[in-house]
Amino acid sequence: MLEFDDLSFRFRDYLFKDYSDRIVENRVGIVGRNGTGKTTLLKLVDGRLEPEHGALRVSGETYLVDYDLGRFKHFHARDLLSLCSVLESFDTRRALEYVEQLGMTDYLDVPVGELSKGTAKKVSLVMGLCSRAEILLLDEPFEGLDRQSNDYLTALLKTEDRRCIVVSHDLEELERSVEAVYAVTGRRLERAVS
Amino acid sequence: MRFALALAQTTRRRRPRRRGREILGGLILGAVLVAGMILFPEWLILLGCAYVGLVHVMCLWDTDVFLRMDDLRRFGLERFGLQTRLAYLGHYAASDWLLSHAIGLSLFTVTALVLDEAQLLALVAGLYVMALMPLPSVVRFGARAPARAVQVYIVLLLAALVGLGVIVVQAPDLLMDSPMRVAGILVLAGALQTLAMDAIAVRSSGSGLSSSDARRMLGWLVNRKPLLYKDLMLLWRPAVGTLLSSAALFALLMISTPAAWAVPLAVVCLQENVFMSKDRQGYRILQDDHFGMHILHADRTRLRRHLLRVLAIHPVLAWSIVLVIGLLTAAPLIHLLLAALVMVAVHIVDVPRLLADMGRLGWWRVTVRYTLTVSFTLGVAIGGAAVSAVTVLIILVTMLYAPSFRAAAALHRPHSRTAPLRSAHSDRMDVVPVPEAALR
Repeated sequence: MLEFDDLSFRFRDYLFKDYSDRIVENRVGIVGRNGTGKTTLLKLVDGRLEPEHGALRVSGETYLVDYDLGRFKHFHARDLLSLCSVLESFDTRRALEYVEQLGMTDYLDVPVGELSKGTAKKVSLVMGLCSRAEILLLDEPFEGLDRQSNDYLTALLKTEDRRCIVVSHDLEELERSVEAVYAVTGRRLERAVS
Repeated sequence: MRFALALAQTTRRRRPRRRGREILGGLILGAVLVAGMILFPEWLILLGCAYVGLVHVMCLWDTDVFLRMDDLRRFGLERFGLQTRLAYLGHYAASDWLLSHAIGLSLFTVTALVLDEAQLLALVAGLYVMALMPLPSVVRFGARAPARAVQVYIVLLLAALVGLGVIVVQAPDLLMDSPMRVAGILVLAGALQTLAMDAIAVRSSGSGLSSSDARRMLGWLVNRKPLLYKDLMLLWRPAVGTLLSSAALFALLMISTPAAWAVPLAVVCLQENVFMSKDRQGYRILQDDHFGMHILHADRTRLRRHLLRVLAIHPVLAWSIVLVIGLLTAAPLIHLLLAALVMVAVHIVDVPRLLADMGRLGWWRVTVRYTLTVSFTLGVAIGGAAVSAVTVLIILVTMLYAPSFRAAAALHRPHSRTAPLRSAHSDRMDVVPVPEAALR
């Protein structure tokens, strides 16, 4: 899924340095201490950041779930799903199932700006799950969600034939939802749990 | 409506009714209106507007006559929709003023019909609507807006009255040429005033200018035209608001303005270049992704084109107005040509701004721009000669374009702080496609 070719990237200090490797699993979890570069890695994969040196090759379209819906604060979740339904980038046939399973049915007609942090996050997650992109990039998806929603999300990630990279501090949830977990450490990725 | 009547019955109990005073007040009001209609109808407008102004000023503070902000909260009328305004009308109608107004307006109506002055009825009706419809907004404005804003509002009211007084003295025919037209202006002014006060009051409350009203208005688009809905909602303030206010202002100005002023006024009202509207420090038209999410290249193009179409409504409307008005003037070709030149110039001068985005120049650019545009308008209207207008136009273009061009050029020097636009996600994918099988 990912191929690192002599990759280097830094903000002030190097987060990745001359790193070459391949990740072939379809569902990958990323753990690591704060500031080690987990979110940066997602942005590199998504193309929002460019490597300083080397290359990072990705075998498909990616969709980094964006939890910042500030621009759409006056939109209802239903408005956003309606908008997604007319775009080729999304397949909204299962949107209502996601909404129901994540316990959002009662919040479909509430402005996004008035939703709680967790519920607003679910709106972003539903849009991400509806995305037709081949690889879903999720940054801390379990944080701030209720137990039932987390269970549904982990089950969905595990059972769906969908490639994903999940960054989380919750190792337990990661183990339940992905094939392999890597840790960002020492300016490279190392297999953490098999 | 039942709610409105119940509200009115509740609130009118605040004071005991005094029938004698109400009847006397109504007779006096009717006498004033009738005398105004017969003796000096143009002064009747000034008198009516002064009364409306007095009512509005009273609403800025808590009195026993009008609903207070506490009352609005008590009755759950903080969201200022149609229900609020109907409720307020119900309250006003059921208050002590009902009998007085009924008597006064009845006297006026009967007299106007007998004297065949039915057009003046429209004028008084316009005044009545203008007095009542903005009242809830004025109450909220008085309760929420800062003291300075209230002072400015009162000063503006006084200035408007003084201006009206000048017109009454200097050019009474302008007002009385068509009372229907003046009534239309009054209603439009009331609507604009209501919109403006709502916007200021909500903004001053710290919650920002809400688009919830816009959503209610555009809600029917959600499932039918989601892309149009998105663009209109996201552009509500910078583009749609400008468009609506420009059109309203233009209509307001044009209704009682000589045809010769038409094109210059259209230019003044519609010169704002919505293509240059900004969002999150970037020009919308240049932003990498208007949707702000990860989408396929096909969708990206589609969204961009749709946005362009929505934005294009503004100049299309502007040109339509210029075209229609221009054809009605005595020298349509000259006016059309001038208008075309100015509008093109307005868009041209924004191109360097698009590149430069120089904050230091912003204030001066706006000042110079409007000053020169007004000069141009006056030049056309007063001078009337195409040569003088073209001269002003050249000055306008030169003074606006030159500094912008310099600013743009400065950006291309070394050590610029401006970062290049980040490449789009889908573009990146075009560059680094790696088959899955190759990685295994």
